Amino acid sequence: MRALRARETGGVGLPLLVVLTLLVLLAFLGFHQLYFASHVQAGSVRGAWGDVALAVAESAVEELMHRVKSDASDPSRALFHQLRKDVLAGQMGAMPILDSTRLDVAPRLLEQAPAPGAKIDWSSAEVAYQRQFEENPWERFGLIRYRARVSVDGSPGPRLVRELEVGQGFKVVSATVPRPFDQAAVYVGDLWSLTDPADVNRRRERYLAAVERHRGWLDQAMARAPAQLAERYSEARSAIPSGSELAGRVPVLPVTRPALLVASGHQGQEFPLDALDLARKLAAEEVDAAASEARVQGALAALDAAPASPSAHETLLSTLEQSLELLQGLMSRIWAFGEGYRVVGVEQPEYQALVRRHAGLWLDHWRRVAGFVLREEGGQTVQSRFDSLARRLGTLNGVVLCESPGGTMTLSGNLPGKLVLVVSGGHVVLDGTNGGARPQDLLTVVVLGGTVEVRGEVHAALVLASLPGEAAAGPPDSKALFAPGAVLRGGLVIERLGAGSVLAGSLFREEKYSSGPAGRGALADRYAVLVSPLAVYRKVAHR
Amino acid sequence: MALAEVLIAVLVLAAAMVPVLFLFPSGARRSAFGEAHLRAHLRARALLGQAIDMAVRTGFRDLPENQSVPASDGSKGRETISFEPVRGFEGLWVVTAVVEWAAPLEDGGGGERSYQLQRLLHKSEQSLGADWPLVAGGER
Repeated sequence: MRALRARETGGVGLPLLVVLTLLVLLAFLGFHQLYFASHVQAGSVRGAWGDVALAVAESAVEELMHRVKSDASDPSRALFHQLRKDVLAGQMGAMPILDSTRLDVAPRLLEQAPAPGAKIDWSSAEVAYQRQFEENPWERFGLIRYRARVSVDGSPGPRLVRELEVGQGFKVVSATVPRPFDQAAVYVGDLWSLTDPADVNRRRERYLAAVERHRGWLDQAMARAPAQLAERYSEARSAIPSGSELAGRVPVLPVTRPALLVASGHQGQEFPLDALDLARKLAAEEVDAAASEARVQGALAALDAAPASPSAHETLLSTLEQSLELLQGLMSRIWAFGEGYRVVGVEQPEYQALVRRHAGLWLDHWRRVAGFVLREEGGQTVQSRFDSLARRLGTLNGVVLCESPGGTMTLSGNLPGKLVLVVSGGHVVLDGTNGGARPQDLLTVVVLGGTVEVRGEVHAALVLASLPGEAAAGPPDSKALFAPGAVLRGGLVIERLGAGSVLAGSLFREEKYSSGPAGRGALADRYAVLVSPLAVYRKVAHR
Repeated sequence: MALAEVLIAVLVLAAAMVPVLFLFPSGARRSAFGEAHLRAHLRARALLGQAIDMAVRTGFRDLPENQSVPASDGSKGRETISFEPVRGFEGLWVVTAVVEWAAPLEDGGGGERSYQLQRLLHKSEQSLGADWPLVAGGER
């Protein structure tokens, strides 16, 4: 039976079965090759076009960043002023950046883009938020958000879309002496670290008493003078002010403790720095006055021996005039100090208001607002890192904090820009620094718990503040060493003067270091807007 | 009979094989964006990234206007990077990466092929080194 079936069918089924099986296999292979291979290829092409779309989006964002950074430093642009307005605590500070979001260059790249139908659908830039660092509403940090959406023809599939969002941090910082200390030509937060006002007052009493003594000597001698010298004596007598008048002219310095010292001054006004330590200055100049008074006493003794001698009287008159002139000079110093400087004692509300703002001179504040923090790293000193930075950027703006520089940092030559250079600890030498400064350059040197030497003519504002606590390797207060004849053109702010300081030469007030009159807002151009070179975040959305 | 069936089966199979053979890679080479273009795109993208890293690392100094080197894979091609400053936009450059290669015979033969990618790049530290005038003195 089985053999009969095989003979009757003649083996037709087997080749057919084989062919069908092979046809099915080929169909499967063909379908696979057709679908998956082309799918892989299509996927690769879409991936490439997606890259191109992303590159165009990145270009759009790059142009936005460029425009924002340019306009933020151009006073003719609205963004320059918008970013420098005050933002109060509690305000979000969010705002669109409308004026700076036009794209001129990125659309030109579309012509060369290999992806077909590439189009920049939209782009935008905005300030997402702003926050004050501390009390100054003009000093802030914040985030700028850039967005761009690009689409390309994704045939045979739908259009490919790439949305790019990039966030960049920014800071708005004062590029000059911190408020409110920028209002003063000279500010000393602790008067008693600078001079001893009680000692000045004691010397004042001695000078007034000395003038009375001279008056008495003159009266005694006049009583014995020959007739031909009567007029001479009378003139000399009338040239000496009365005791009460003198006492009214030469002020008594406030001796409240603690107290601070402030001097405003006008543009270009000179402040001799050796006269700041008034007690020391008077002590030095008294030597001549004491010697002169001794000569008067010698002349008196000679007159006692020859009371009718006209030459003895002439000698007495001459020595009296010289001695009184020296006394007058000493009292003029006290008068000038009282005229030029204002002492604010602890009992005055202004004292607390000012001392509270000393926190704006301390290290924590500078760490918050600094755009660069330089430390010794990888064998490179802080000095060399700073020099590299200055060379790389050309113009330096904002706050550069140099922490614990070790050896000596020397600043000579010019530093273009609006720079606040903070050096914590260490030794700083300003040697003819910024002598060739341009009118728009500002250099404020802040020394924390270190020593600063000033030599030659330096165009800068100098701030000396303390570095207490663990950060201080030595005495917390900063020391100033001014070379004889040194000139500082800018301003001087001293929180507390370190022992061993030498104040010499002169300060000339430069009003450009003021960031605006007190109570009338801030001058926008004294603030630097620094946009971070790095992105805080970067997001790409595929649609 | 059996022989005739086998012959028919072979003929049917041969007819079915012809269209399938065209689906294999040699057919795909003739499409508009092939494997070579894809390789060139990937290489151009890498070149752009390297160029941008170099610019940032050197502080945007001495950027080459046109720097051309032989292809990195040893083939007969060239890779070019260029930085073109954008006129009127100081601190903004157009960075272009161009990859050139010789087209194989299977692709229609002869001639150079090239692929180009571009991107804008701005000087990232621009605001740190900006310059602006001051109002004289301390008055508004």
